Amino acid sequence: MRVALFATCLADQLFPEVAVATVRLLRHLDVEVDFPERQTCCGQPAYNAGYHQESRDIAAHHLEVFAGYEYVVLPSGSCGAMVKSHYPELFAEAPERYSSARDLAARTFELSTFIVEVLGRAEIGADLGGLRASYHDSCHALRFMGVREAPRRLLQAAGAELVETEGHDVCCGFGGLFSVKMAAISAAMAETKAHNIAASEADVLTSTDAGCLMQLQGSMRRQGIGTRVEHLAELLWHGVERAGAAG
Amino acid sequence: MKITTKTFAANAREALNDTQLKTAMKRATAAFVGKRNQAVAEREDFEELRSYCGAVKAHTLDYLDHYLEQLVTSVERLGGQVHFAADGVEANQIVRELALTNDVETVVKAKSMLSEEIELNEALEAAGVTPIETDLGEYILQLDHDVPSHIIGPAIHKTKEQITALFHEHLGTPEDADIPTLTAAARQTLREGFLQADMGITGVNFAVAETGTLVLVENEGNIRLTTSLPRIHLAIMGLEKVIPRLEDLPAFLTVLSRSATGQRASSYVSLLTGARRPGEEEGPEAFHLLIIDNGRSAVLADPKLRDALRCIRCGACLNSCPVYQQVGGHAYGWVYSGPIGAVLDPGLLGLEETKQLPQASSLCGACGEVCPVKIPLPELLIEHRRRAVERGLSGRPERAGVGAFAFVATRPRLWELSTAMGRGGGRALSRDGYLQGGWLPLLKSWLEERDFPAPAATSFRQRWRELATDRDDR
Amino acid sequence: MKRSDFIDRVRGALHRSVGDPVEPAPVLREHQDAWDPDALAARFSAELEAAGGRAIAVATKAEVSPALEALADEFGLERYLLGGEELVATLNLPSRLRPADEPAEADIGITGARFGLADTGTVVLSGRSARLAGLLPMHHVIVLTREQLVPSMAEALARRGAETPSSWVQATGPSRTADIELTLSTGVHGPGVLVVMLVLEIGE
Repeated sequence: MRVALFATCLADQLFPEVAVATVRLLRHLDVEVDFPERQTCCGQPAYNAGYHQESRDIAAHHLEVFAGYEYVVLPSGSCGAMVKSHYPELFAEAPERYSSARDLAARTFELSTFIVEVLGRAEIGADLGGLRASYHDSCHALRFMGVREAPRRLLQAAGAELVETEGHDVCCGFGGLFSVKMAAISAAMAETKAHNIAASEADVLTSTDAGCLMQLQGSMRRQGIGTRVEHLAELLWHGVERAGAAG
Repeated sequence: MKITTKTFAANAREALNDTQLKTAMKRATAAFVGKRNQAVAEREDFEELRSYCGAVKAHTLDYLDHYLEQLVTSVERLGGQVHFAADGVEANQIVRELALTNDVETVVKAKSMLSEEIELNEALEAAGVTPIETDLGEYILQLDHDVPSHIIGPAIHKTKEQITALFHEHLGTPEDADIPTLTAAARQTLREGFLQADMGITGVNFAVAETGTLVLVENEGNIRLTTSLPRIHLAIMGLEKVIPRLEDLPAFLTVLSRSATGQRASSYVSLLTGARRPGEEEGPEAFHLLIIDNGRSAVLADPKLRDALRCIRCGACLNSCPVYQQVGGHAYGWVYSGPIGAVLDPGLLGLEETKQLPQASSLCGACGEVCPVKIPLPELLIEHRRRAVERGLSGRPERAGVGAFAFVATRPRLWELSTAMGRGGGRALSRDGYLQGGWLPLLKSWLEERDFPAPAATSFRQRWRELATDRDDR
Repeated sequence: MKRSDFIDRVRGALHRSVGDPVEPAPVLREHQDAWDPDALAARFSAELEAAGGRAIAVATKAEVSPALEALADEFGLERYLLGGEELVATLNLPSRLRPADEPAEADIGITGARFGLADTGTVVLSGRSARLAGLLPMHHVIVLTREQLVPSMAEALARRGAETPSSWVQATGPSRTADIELTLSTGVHGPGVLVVMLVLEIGE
């Protein structure tokens, strides 16, 4: 099987390890990965801020870059939600683009969902035994992509102890430009979550989305909360490496 | 109430620094959310009921001229008098005249957000009529000259200690009175008001077009008293409160009580169909219904925003909103707060006056998930943002910034070049893997309370060129 | 504003004209579960208790009086108001209770009801029972017969008859408020104690 990786601009620029781990995980699961190098950003920041012409331009570029791949996999629920729920809407009045947007939406998968639902794997040969993991539900993954069970199943199958932290499905406060436009509120939201995470005594905080984790880590670091933060792709890949080293 | 929607961000900062408010809000919203979720989980058909109620409301709004006609005819057939007001000024004038021609000195009032919206109490006082708020929360606010911060729990921003002190001062209850003592004192004082009042003013939860029945939902019993004891009952309603048939009610009441307070049924639901009839000894002698527009017909005329008028005022979107949970209702600067306020207020007050409100959301989607009539709140928040951009309300620097971003993001080579430069700049400003001191205006506000990671030395796309041929990972 | 101007304004907002057709309103799919009549009483009582009310089952109407006397003793009640129902008018009231001179002085209201809604433990009150007797006193006792129990509000509405009554109040448990720190407190305006005496069989 062959998929196109949409690394997302956040992972590309700030957290390349997330995308690297995604590639390694997929290859570990016998999936061939292609990286269309002309990819940039999904356009969500512009869309959510109300700049729909600008985001339409970016979306058109994205459609073109990812045309022709059977699957597009990305380590993010948020950018996935943009493609899945807003692209078709952006091209509501352009029938040809609309149908390619619908088509791309159907081919686009958040990483954990792809592994569990498309590949049909929950047990991926990762060893996270003894690890207390707090999973943060990214809002867009949860509410717009329906990602709830897949990450949890992968973590549990790897032997991690899943800690359901109070408010695990409450927004971290990132919200793209919201985090700087309404910085004080955004930071307060992160702070509330950070305290809950600290109280849960988890070893590691993980999520499908690097944006949420950047926000939470930024807040936790400022408050001296030392819980380790790792994107689900990295965490799982480290589990695979650990299993490999042991075996 | 004084409108301070323009200064939302500043109001919010102030609210965030109020530790008492934070405690009160956290407690209240957590309790509301917990009860709501439990009550909703009990009903397997809740999703179906949401869809149905949303569809009935949408239908009624689409044919509102028809249903309003039907409602008015039904109420008049029952001997009720119906009045119409284009705006708050006209509404207040009608109420004032009603009060004066009927020699009304004292009015008992049940909670009505619409009356806050049109500042009815101030108008009554100016006419020499004494309004008494009888909902416990509203009564507390009236004593303290404060305004509601929540649709269902108007005084949830206040702590028990604050209320105990307030009652001690005004009602002479002990300085350390417990909640039952406070409640009993309010009962006694307000009961006197009910017995002497000439007119009772209530809002309306649902007005049934087919039968002319007004439906009022509550837990305290003050609405029952307001509509039973005074000789005149005046109900005020926004023009969007109509539903077609009595048969629609069970579904609406189910979603309302479960969404609002997590109850299977509210303590009291009054279905009032006209005033006292021949042969009846109790109930008001005269019944008036005042239907108010005050900006609603403009929202109705807007095919996208029309959905906001489905709102049945349950407050679930407020409770579920992580922004509301942090800042409370007052920060929003008007009667309607939280996500529904951020969607409705721009419709009623104009986007120029309220443009910050739709920005007060991380677009997490929690509000849309709980709305019992399926108002697409996140979509409408984005729609307001889109319109703000379209009307040039978003500011030149932002517009230029987003424009430049889109230009670069559609040109891969330029993207690679400029992101590389950006990363280089960011790394020069970083130490120990984190940015130190942002010179960009955007990062400055981020860094006030959070750290920001240093950009990667090597982007993923550079790493890919090694990974592409790397087969050792397997 | 005149009625016609107001409606015209709304019609204009909708881009509709006088006489334009109206689509039928949506209809909820019926899925009334079949209710076992014996289960109604049990469900009603359980729901009422969950809502903070009290349910007392009595075998016959004659047993209402001793049950009322026990309540009067428990709460120290003296003066009553009666609802307008025939069932109530023919009750044999305990001698320690006497009618209140003024409605506001009553400490117990004894009323009937039109229906009991099993799925929420609700009583449907109307007329005097809704306006005064079942509202002013701190204690409210409702005498309900088993035949008056229906599964739900939908069923009660269906049986309401040709004329919708002027007042139809659905009361579920006691008056309550949570306006102070979301702490539940009862009897803030209406009855703080609500008791339903469910007469299982009418007769002597």
